[in-house]
Amino acid sequence: MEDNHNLEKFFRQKFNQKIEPEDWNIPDNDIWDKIALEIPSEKRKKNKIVFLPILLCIGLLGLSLIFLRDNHQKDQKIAQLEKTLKECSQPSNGIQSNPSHVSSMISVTPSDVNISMTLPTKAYNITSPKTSGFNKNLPGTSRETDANLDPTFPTYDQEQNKVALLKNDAYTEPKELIHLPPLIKLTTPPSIQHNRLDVIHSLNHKKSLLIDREPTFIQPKKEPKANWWLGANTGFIFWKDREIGTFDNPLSELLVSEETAHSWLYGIQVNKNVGRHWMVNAGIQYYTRNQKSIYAINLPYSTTQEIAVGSDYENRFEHSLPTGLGNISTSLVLARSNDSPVSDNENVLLDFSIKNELRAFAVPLTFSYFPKEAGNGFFIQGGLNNEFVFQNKIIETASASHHIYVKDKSVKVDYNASQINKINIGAIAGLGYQKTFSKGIGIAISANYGLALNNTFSTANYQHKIDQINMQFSVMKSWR
Amino acid sequence: MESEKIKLCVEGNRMAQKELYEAYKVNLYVLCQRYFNDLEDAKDALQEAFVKVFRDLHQYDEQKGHVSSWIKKVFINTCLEKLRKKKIDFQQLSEYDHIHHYEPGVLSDLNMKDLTKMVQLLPVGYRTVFNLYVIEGFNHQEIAAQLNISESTSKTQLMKAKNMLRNKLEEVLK
Repeated sequence: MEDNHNLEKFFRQKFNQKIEPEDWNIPDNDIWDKIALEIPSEKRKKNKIVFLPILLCIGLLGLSLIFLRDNHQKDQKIAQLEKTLKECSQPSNGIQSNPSHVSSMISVTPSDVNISMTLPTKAYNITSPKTSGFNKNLPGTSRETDANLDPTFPTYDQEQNKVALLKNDAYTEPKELIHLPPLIKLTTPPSIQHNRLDVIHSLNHKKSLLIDREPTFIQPKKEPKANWWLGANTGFIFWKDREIGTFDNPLSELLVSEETAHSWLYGIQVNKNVGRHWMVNAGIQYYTRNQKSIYAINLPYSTTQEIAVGSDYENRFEHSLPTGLGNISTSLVLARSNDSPVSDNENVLLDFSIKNELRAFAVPLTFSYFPKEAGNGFFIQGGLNNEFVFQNKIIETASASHHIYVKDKSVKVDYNASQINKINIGAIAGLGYQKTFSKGIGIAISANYGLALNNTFSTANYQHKIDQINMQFSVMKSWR
Repeated sequence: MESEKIKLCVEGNRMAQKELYEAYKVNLYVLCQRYFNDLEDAKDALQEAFVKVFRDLHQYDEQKGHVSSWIKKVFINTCLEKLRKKKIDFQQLSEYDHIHHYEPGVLSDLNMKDLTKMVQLLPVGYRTVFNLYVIEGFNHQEIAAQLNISESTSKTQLMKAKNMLRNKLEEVLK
C-alpha cells in the first residue's frame, strides 16, 4: 500500500513541477505559427472597426452616385421638354404671347374680347378665334379628351366670364407674373392648331416630370446668394498606424507594435457657399491621441558578468534607443537569487511599453460639392487637414518579464520630445449629408478618410504615419 | 501583472499571447506526450488546446484559481476529446510494451524524458486512467464519467498501470 502511495507521489511530484526545457520537450517553432494563424489578434479586431466607416463611405458614395445619375437624367428630360415647349410657342395668326407661358387666367368679354394674361416664364401659344365665347369645345380639336389630358388647356367659366387653364400645379401657380397690356382686341378666337395637338399629348405624358420639377421649372433660376455657416462639430476618429519598412534597431525584434487609441474630436467650423453647388469649409478641431509603443528585448543573461549583490546576482543592461517617441534610454536590472540555476547567456525575454499622450489642433480646409444645392443634401468633400501638435508627453511606462529567474527589472525612459514632428500634413476626403431646417439651422454628418502625407517618425529604413477615418456631426447656423 | 497579461491576451495582443505560450509550452507539451505515445498526436493536441486556450481565455475567472490550472484543464479535456475521437477502448486490458529499455540507476536519476516514456508506453486505457488519477488528481467516479467506463474498470486499470510501472522501475533500479 505504502509502495503504491510512494509510486503515485513520485510521479505526481515529477510531472507537476516546473519541467526544464530540453530538446525532446520543446515543441517545434512552427506550432506557434499555426496557433497564431488560428487565434484572433488585436490587429484583426481593429481592422473590423476600421472597415465599418470605410463601408459607410462606400455606401454614401454609392447613394451619391445614384442621386447624381437620377438628377442628370431628369435634367436631360427637362431640357428636352423645354425644347418642345419652345417649338410650341412659334408665332401664328392671332395673339402671340410673350415667349413665356400662358398660365393662370385669360379674361374675355364676349363683345369686345380683352385678354389680360399673367405669364410664367415658360412659353405657351394661344391664338384667339374670331368669334368670342369659349363655352364649348374649341373648334377643330377633340376637346373632351384633350381637356382631360392637357393641364394647360383653356376652359371657360361662364359665371366668371373668364377663360382659365385647367388647374394643374405645374402651371396654375406661377411664381412670376408677366402682365400684358390690359386690353387687346381679338381678331380670332383662341384655338389650338391641329398640328400642335401631338405636342400637347406629348406634354401630357411628361406631366409627372413637370410636377417633379416644379420648383426649377417655374421659378427662374437664380444664383444662390452667398451664405455663411457657423457651427460646432464633434466626431470620433479611428486612427490607423501605417508602418513602412522595418525598424532598424540594435536588438532583435525590439519594436513589436505601435498602437494608437481612437479618440473624440471637438471643434468649430465656418463654411461659405461659393457658387450654386460649392462650399468652402474651414475650422479648428481639438483632440488628444494616445499612442502605445511596445518593445521587446531578448537579453542574454550572463553568469560570467553578473554582479553579486547581497544574496542575489544581477545583470545590468543599458541601451539608448531612437524610437517614435524620441530617444529612450533603457536601464534594466535583472536579478536572480544565488541558488537559482541559470545557464550562461540564457535568453531573458523582457518587454516594455510606453504610452504617450498627444494633444493637437487640426485645421481642416476643404471644399464640398453639393449636387443638389450648396448646403442641402448629399455632398462630397476633399482638402487638407493639417495637425499642429502642442503637447506630447509620456504618461505611462511598464515592463514585464516571465523568465522565472528575473526578480527585478526597471526601465528608465529618457524622452526627447523635440524629435516629434510638430506639424503633420494630411489630405482628407469624405462624403456627407447636410440638412437645413427652418431659421437657417442645419445639421451635417460626414465620414472622412484622412491620409497622412508626412511621417510622424522615420529612420532610414522605417517610416511611421498615422492615417485616420473620422465620423463627424455638425450643427450650424446660416446667415447671408 | 499576470492578470494584466491575461487581459492583453484576451484583447488579442500577439506579444502577450506569445509570452503565455512560451511560459507554458514545455509543461503542456509533456502533458500531451503523457496522453499520446505518438508524437504527432501530441503536437496536434498541443496546438489544438492552445487555440482553445486563447479563444476561451475570456471565460477564465481569476477568483476560481490560477490561470495555469485553468489552462491545464483545457489541455486535459482536449486530450481526452482527441482520444475519444480515436474511438479508444478504455476498457481494454493490454500487456505492457517492453520494447523500451532503461539504463540501471537510482530513482532520482531518472530523468523526465524516461518517466514520460514509461507513461507513454502504457496501453492507452491504463495510461489515461493513470494520468487522470495519479497526476491530474481526478477520482475514479470522475474518471469513469469522463471515459465512459465503470468505476471498477478505472480502478482495475489504475492498478495494472501502477504494477506495470513498478515492474519497470524495479527493472531500472536493479
